Amino acid sequence: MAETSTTRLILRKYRAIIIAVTIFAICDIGVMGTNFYSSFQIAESAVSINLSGRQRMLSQRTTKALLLLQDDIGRGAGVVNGDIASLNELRFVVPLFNETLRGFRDGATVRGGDLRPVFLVQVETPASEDFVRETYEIWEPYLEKLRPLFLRTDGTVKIDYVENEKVNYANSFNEAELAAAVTYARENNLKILNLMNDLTTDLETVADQRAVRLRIIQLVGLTIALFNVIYTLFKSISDLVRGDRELTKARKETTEILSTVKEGLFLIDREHKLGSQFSESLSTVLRRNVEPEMPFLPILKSMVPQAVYDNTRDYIELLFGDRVKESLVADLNPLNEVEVEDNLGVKRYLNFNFNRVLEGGAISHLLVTVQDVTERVSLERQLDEAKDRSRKEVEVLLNLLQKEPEMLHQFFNTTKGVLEQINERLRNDDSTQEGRMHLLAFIMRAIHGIKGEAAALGAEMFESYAHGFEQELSVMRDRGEVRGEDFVRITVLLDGFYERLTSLSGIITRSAAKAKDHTPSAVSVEEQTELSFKENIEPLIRRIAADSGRDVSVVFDIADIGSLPKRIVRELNSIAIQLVRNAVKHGIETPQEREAHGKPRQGLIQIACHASDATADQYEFFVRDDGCGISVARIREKLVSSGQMTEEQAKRLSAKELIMKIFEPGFSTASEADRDAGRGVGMDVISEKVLKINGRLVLDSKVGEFTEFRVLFEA
Amino acid sequence: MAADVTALSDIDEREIQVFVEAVSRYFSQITGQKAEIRAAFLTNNERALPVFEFTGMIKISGDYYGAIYFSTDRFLLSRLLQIMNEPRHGEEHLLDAVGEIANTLAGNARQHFGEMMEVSVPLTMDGKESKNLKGLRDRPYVIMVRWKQYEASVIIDIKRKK
Amino acid sequence: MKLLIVDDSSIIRSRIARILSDSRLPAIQIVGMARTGTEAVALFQQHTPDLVTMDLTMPEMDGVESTEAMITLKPDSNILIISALSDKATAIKALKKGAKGFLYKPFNDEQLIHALLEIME
Repeated sequence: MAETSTTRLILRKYRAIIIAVTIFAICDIGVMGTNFYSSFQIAESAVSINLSGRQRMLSQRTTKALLLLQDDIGRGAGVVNGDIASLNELRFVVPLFNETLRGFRDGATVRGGDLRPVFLVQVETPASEDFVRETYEIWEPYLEKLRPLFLRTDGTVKIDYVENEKVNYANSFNEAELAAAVTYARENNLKILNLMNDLTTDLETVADQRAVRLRIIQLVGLTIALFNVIYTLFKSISDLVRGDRELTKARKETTEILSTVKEGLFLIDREHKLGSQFSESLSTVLRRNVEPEMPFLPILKSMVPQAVYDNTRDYIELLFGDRVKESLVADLNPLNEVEVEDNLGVKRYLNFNFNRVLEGGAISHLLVTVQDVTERVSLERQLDEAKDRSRKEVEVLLNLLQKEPEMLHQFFNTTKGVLEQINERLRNDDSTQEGRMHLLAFIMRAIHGIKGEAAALGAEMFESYAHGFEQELSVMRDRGEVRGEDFVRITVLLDGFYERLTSLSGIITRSAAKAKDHTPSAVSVEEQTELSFKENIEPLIRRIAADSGRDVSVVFDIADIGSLPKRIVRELNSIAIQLVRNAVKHGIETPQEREAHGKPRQGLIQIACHASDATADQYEFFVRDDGCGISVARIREKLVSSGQMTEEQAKRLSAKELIMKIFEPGFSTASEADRDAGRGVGMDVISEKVLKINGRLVLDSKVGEFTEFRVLFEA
Repeated sequence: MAADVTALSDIDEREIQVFVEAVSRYFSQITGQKAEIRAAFLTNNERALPVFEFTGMIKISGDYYGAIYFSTDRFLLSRLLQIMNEPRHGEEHLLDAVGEIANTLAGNARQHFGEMMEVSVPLTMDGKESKNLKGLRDRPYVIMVRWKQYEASVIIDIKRKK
Repeated sequence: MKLLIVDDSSIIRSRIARILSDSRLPAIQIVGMARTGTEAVALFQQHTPDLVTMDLTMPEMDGVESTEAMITLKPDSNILIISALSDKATAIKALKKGAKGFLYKPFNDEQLIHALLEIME
């Protein structure tokens, strides 16, 4: 199929030239044919002219011979014998004239000028025919009168000459017969002469016309041929020039494409050798020098593991074979997003694509495109990881939702409320630098609170987001200035938080139906509150302890918490989260430190909630750890080292004033900020929450022994 | 950890900055004084968009879709016209001025986002027309901008095609 | 067109059959389903199908060997490898033995139909 189409293409491309050449051939053959025919005719004409000229001469010779014969006989020879020259002359010229005349009339082979047989064509023009006919009218009676001269001994009369015939003439004519012939000759000789003259003239005219015609035909044919040659020449030259130009243009375009494309582009042939042209980026993409006609496989071999190399070699072979379907094996391309390593050990991902190139229906080459897809692949992997992570996070949340739907709802509502508060504050920003710093502190507290609660729930997804948020906020705070752009960043982060909440709400909604079917458990609401409080705090402590290398046990004494209003429990929950966080991070020492100080390796955290005065609805809630206690010296040191105060200023502060500092935003004694403590927000959050329930916070601590935070409040 | 923070947000602050900077640049080119971000917050889409009396809007389609608004009051626009030596401060001239700023936004967006965004010609609205504008996002971004003592807002309400 | 389905998973076998019956490709008629390579080759000899969908990992005789056996019996067989294999080398091996194309599991209806039509061309 491809072959016929190629032929068709060639035919179309060269049609003009093919036509021109055909015309030239036809002209040539035409002119040659006419030439041949005409020259043949001209030869015939020459014979005719020649012979009609001879007729004139023959008629004269006949008359002359007759007269001579009469004279010879009259002189007394009397009887005639065959040796009389005039008689012989007559017997030669008369048949010759007769056969020639017949030739003119009918067309016949006659004796030519040299007496050899020649074909004399019948005269063609009406004038000539007339001359011949008229001549006959005279000649026939003439010949009749000459017949006695041709009487043979056998009694027959034959005028016509037959070659090699032995003729015996009777020679028996008499004078009267001769005289009659002479008389006739005298009377008609001139007429015959004239007629033959006319015939000659006419024949000559015809010959002239033919010659002219031939010349014209030759001229026309040659002219056509000449034009044809000029056209062909012009056409093919212009085609060549145009073709060259197009080729140059195409080559230039190819070169341009090859020099601009970002992908590596090249052809490989059946011997796996590169083509003569390839894109300039090829060397860059492959990170190695590439030369035309270079074998492809060794290049590959240096880049990929042996197995991939083997597969690729097979794959290329399959593509060069015509059995497999190209589109159905693309998935098997071993060089799809293949990891390569260059000399420096830098890993990248390349994508090679192979496409068959057909030439005349057969696979001649493979077009190979190479792209560096490192960025895309690593992004995809990151995305996959992120997806995987968020899938796990969702699993955690779903799990939580099943076990603690109430908690999750609460978290959702609290967080949403906090975000709304933040946004409201942003909306009402008074744009003084001082106001902004306050706003920032507020946001940090709020986010820190969310982080703690998320951590308590094990909602990693929210915890880490809040942590990242917090980190960015702390950068702004430490800069000591909040810029306009910072607010854009904060809103973006806020929006992201909302997005997370939206997806959480999606999860909650989807599970709502299940929650409805939830059969009420045998435990009371009070017991449930107590239980969920424990379940909330305990894992958090365990996780933080594990993360920070502490060994901690926890004791709860919170039976009374069940009778408290939900609003208060929520706040206590938040307070407890921050307090245990601080207790583990800042209170409990590492097991080694504890041992060194003669304490049990395992630290203890006590969490309790009691009615201190049941009648007056007075309650106390405390978190106590047997850790290192709050060290005034350390607070002072920290204030100085963080540049918040000079050593002088710090020295002037009383112990109480120093301790109060830990409740100010941005204060932390932990040396490194991680997500569990150290950002100096925790205490800040606690005092805010305590205020919310109209409570009082009492701190009791002894260096090296314990720290106790006590919240006194009225239910 | 920090990279994680924006993983769920479909809009990047860089995109927001492009529009805010376009406005800022406009003011510094025309008046020699920059406009600054005063505040930024999210608006709730249950309410109408918080716009001033005069609003210019450009519609976005392509990889992102939605709209960007520039909104301000007559005082700012009058002052701007005054600086530009435009003596006429009628309603239509104020609308023209706000449209002109929106046009700058459009130009910058085209330049910055190229093929990712198709940007419409600006549409201008007075207070009546913009009263009940609704956002597309759940929480459109409102960036409050201050130029001298005047206030304006850039509202970014675009979503990335999923 | 006679089709032989070769796969050790009954789910995949019936899925291919269902896709084909849903697609109303009139030209394709299922002449057999095989669970193992040995079974496949036996059915192949019995029916000489025009088209075979071939799993790679199967008990008794794997897809590569089955492909080879079928090509020996009928060199111009149209065999489409359908496999979840992440090991490209095995699939390439089957193609070297004479299979004409490859389709990844999982596939959707359209991909299967497209692959079959392509291979019959």
